[in-house]
Amino acid sequence: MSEPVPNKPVSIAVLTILYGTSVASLRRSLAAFDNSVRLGREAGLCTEFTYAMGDASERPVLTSADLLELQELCLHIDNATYTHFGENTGTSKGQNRLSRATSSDLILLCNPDVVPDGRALWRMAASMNVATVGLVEAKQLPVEHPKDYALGTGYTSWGSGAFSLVRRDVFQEVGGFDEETFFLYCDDVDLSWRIREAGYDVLIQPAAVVFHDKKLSAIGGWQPTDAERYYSAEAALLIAHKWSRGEIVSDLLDRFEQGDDENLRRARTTFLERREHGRLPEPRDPNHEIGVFQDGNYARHRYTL
Amino acid sequence: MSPRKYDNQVGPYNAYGRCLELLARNVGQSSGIHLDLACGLAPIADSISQIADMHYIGIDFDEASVTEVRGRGFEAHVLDLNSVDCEQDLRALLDGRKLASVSMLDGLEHLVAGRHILQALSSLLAEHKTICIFSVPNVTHADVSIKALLGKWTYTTSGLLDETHYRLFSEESLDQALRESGLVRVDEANVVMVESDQHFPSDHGALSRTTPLGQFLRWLRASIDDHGSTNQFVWAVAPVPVKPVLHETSHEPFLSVIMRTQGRRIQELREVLLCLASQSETDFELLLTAHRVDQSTQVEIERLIEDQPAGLRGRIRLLLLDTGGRAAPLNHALRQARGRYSIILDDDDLVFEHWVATFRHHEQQRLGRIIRTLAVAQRVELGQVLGLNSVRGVASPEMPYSTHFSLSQHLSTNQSPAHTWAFPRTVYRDFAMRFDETMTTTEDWEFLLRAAEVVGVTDVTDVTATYQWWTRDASSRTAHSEDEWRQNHTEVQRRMDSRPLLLPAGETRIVREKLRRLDEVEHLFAHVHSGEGTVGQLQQQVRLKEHELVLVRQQLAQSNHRQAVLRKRVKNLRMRQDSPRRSRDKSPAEQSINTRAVSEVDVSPATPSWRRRVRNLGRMVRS
Repeated sequence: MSEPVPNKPVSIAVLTILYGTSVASLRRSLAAFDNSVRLGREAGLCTEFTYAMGDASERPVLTSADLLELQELCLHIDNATYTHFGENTGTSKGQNRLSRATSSDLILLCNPDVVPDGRALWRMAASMNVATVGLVEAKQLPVEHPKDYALGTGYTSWGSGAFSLVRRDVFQEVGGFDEETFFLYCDDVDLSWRIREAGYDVLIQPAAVVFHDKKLSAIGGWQPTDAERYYSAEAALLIAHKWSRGEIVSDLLDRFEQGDDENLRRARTTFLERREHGRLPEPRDPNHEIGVFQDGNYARHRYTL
Repeated sequence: MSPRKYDNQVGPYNAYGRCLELLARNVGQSSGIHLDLACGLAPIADSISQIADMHYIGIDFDEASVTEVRGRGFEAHVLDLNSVDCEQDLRALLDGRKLASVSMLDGLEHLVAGRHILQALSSLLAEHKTICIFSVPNVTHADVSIKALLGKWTYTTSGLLDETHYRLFSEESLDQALRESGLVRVDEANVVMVESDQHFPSDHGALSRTTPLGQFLRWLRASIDDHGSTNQFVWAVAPVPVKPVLHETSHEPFLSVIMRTQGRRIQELREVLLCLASQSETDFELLLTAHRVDQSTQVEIERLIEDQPAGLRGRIRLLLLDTGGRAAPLNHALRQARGRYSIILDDDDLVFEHWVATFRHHEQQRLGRIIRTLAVAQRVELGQVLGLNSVRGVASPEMPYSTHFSLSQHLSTNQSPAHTWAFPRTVYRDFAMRFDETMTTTEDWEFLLRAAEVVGVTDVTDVTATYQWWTRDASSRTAHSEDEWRQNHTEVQRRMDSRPLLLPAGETRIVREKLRRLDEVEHLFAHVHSGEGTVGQLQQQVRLKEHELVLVRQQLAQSNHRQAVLRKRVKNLRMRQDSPRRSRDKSPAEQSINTRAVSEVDVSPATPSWRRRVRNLGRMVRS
């Protein structure tokens, strides 16, 4: 089985948002990216590579010395840039900003603690040899995302913002992330669905692997933090509203109200306030041709996690 | 010392016979001088002299012995082998004659400064291109070591603990002494005595092979090396360049990750290498053994290593092995491991970011014990997308393994995937444990049982890894038949049954609890199956309770009826009370009636308690 490569050399900009990120994890991630670029350059696949960091933390997580140290790791990466936003932009607004500050054929949406395998990027880029592919996601390790995809083609409902490659022209065509609506979660689901709405395919290439650590409980269950529970609940309401699933919104509002999870109650209150002040997005996809809402997920899942 | 106490004859199984055996095997029909150092009464002189063109010369410090040997017609000389000039003395004695072979039987341990004669021999043997046969008592014989463990150390006039021995030797220390003087073992024919001269008192409970303690200690001794029954090391040694004393200067990592691959799962190997490249703790080395791979597969593996970031690449050592079964690559890697701890990681499993860090954190707290973490198991299949193979989860991760290690539980089934437990190097360095290469499966379980028994297990209840359970694609689980798995399983249990078992503190409580529960189940089982009588008794009890319930229900019905009557009366009285004539207008007699009526209601049967009784009886009948 020969190694797939993009039809022509490409330029890539990695857009990653820092928020209290440790320098150690950045160092590890950047070293892995630099290794990817080494392999890409050796195979003549890469014209230019930029690693753009946007810092949404209250105080900068990097000192000048840290930045210098990170840049020194970049033996093959052309540019490693760092911007402290001075506000908590979340991922949507932050990555929109970084997209405007960079130029490349492809944009890599990426969490700052993700470590890519050396071939992952190029396998994903090769998946874009078909012009209709707008977004390609990698498979995450050590806990794979349970959403289903089609064997053979890799078609899937949405691609994770933790590590997805997007054509820049497609990203711009759909207007990037909906930063007015989504702060942290579901921004990637919404982006994927708008890409599909615009006629492009979203797929996963599971042979492109990246490491994105997770913690499982002693019985193998997921352990979300309070912040994850709050923001994912808020995003769940917003995306159901935006993609014309009023019945799901009502159901979630009821459940959040009846439950005893303070995070969910708070998410409910925020949503109702937005609705009251007319700050909700215009619903789309009235015939439910794009958005997938199944068992509380945004794709059919192969298993629960 | 009296030479008479060493007046032993040549026998086929003693040191003299073994010496002649080695000479015949390694020197043959050579001609020249045979130099017999520390010859004593020269028991081998006659045998040596029978070899054509061989001239025997005996050397000893004891003049009486030398005189006696000379008296038998052999050339013999008095020489101090402790002397720094012994090489010069020997050369003078040889006086240019050809040296055919040398022996030094049970002499080295008597020397204060043995290195002088060893260095002299290295030089002479190199010059004459021949060998020397050494015989040296083994102080690590099981009889000596077991007694020493229990506080007994008894010198004797001859034998293993001869009171005139100056230096005591184990296999390792003899090897080292020879190597440092420019000599190396090339052949051996050791004297084996299951019961040595130190096997006393004969009824010592730890020396016995029939007591549990004796059996356990002998099993442990035998598992470390083959010399628990070696009475004397009888070695043929040859000259080599002097080996300088090495001081370990290279970095000693915390963890040696041992991985075997046949190169059939390159994508899975890529995934597990990515997990290692992502570790938060990088103080580890990866010993990747390519086992029985062809050239193209080897190249594929090498390319994959080349794909790794420099940080990981620098920690990988690729080993090649073309022989042996499943366990062979594990032992091959173990021999080269430098880590304080080692762990197996299969080429199709996954580990979390804190995998190495977790083991390292707990190493500092419980040095020398096995550290065990947890893994979830997930069913996976191979899939293909856009022409590339990939692993695809098909079920939720589960926790099928015990969260805490129990040796007794592990005796029946393995609850610890190999990549969840790291073992300290003392297990293979000091206890010489290796993976059993005769086993085609379950070699990790068998190793864990032996290792856990002697060094114990520290539980860490963090999930640090995933065990990928292949549902339909080839894996070690499917590569071997059910029969083969069962046979290996039985073999592991047979081995554990063949000797006493050392249980860690607290394990008896687990065993006791399990036995208690088993007793309960057996009791219940016996009760159910003990025949009609018991069932009949239970049915009779049920009937009695049912009858009692009927009575109680009748009482309750009467009580309810009485309550209803009284309620009606109260109602009537209240109606009368609410009539236009106010109560204060009533006569004292009427007021008295009202009060009594209310009191009668208040003291009616306490219905809640009755209901409670009925409920209880109902429960009893149902149960």
